[in-house]
Amino acid sequence: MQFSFNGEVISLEIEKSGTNFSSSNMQLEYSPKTMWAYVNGRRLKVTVANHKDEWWVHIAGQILKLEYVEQGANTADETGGLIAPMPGKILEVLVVEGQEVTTGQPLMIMEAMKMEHKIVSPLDGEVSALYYQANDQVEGGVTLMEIQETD
Amino acid sequence: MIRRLLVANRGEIACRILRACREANIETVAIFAPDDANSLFTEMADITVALDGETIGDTYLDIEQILSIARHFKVDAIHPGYGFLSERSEFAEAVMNAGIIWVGPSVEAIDLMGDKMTARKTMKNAGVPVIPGEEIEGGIDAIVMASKRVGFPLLLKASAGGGGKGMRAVHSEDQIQSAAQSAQREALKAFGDDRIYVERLLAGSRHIEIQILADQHGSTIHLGERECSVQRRHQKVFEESPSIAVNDTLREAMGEAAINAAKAVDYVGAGTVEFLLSANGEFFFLEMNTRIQVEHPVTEMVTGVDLVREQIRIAQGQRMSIKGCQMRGHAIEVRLYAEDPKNNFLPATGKLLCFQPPEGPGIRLDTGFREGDEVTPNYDPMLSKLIVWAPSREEALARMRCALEDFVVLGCITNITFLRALCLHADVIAGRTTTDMVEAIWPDGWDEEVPSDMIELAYLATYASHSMGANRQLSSGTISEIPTPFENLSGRFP
Repeated sequence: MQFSFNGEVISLEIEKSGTNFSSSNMQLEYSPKTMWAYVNGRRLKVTVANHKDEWWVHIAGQILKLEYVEQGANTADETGGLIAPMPGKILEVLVVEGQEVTTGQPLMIMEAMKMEHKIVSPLDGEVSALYYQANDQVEGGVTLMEIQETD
Repeated sequence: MIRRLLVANRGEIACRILRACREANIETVAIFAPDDANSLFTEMADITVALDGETIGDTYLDIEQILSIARHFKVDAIHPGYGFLSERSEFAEAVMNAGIIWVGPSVEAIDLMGDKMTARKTMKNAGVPVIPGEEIEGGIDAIVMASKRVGFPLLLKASAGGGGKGMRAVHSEDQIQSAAQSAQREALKAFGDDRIYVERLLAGSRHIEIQILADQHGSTIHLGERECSVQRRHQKVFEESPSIAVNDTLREAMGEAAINAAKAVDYVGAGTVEFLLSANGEFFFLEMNTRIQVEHPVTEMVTGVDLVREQIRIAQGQRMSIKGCQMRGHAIEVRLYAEDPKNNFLPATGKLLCFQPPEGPGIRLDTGFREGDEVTPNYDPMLSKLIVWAPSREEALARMRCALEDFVVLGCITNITFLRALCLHADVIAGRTTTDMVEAIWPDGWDEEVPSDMIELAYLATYASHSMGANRQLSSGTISEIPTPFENLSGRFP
């Protein structure tokens, strides 16, 4: 079974015996929602919540979000697509298609929750596609534009 | 006397006011927008009324609609909370004209303090020190000219401002044009008023504010300070009382300045006078908030005064129930926001799959959310306030660290791990708290290193839950058969 954390796929050898699950240096007694784990002799409370493919885990103040990965699926980020970080409204588009941009350059200004947010370029490249214009309402997670990386 | 009160607000502050009314044996009316139909605060009122409309402007900001509900249900008083209409004098005026008690100061006081440029002038005249800067009449060119005279680094602030909106720090002359445009645009959006003024940016200073109470019998007192220096995006996230930087002498001086500020506008009710305390110990008036504040609980914890209860007492013409300021121990508040601290504190949304607040001595949670609630982008992303009290600052910090560690919030990204990192940071522990500290400590944004064994354990727990079918139960949307108490009993006694 594969899950990803921060975009990295994790897959470990797990041994199962009844409701007891263990890997090389830790073990966990499963129960719904809240369970106990032992790591190097330390007892830790673990809380798990699930929504669709998202798995949220709380361990001693640490919160991790894992994502279920279908076997054989490609999780690598293939395109330079820029994703809307949240639902909101596009206030201004600061670039045009075909424009060269540099890392950190502001591309769009979005408004959400009455605050302005700058969308900046994550890489050096060329704007290869623009999907939205000023005054458009966008959902969180949609691709706003594509940037082709320049070598 | 107030027998029935309408709360013109939502979320945690609505809950706070509704509770205070219930304790005072006052009947309550809560109003809610359609998307708040199942929100926690609607469960706490005696009467709930659905507002008609989609946007905030058509619901929580619709003065006519709120007043017609107030008249229809014959309420004696309206409490505006913070935000929304709380500092809109036309609302206060309309409420009073309708013969309803306004839980707040006079229209004149709101106007004089609400417009930040006017407040600066009023305070200068009252002999309260203000930050070097300039009030500006005119557009972009006037802002640029004034900025050059004030000198960099500086802060552009919206005259109608609040909550960090329309505020920009400008560090050099070449940024001024775009910063001014952006600040004006944001101010226009948020307040319908794009006037901007300029103040010198005093690096390394602290944000210290004084809580004020004034009744209609001429008594005005202060209830000590709150330090709210720790901010991100010009919004407070960590507040405490007392401040490590304020001794008895300074407290008396600032308290007196705050009382003078309040008296200069004939202030009545609960209010807060905000000051900047510079690195060399000088303090300057920032602004006065003519309402109950988000961080009022820290003052309540150290003074033992129920500020909302006092507001109600004062509004119905009674004398306030306290004589002066007596502080005991130390209180800290952190604000739990649905936002991503690893991504420039951008607001986040999601469903609170799990929401288990900490408990124990000296722990208080003021929340507008509970497990199962959906966090939407429609409102301010603050979910709850976690407040602790302990005999000393050191013990209060330790209590807060443990409380944050126990606080389980899953399903929506929050700043909870950032708040815990703050409480563990050497500068916070040592009390070296300044308004620019978050940017100074984490100039490229905050991030945390998740230990590899935590990732491994998270994987193990997820693997176990997935293979035991926990996802099928939860994601199908149906609740699995709930065993009857008798089944539980027979399980306990095999």
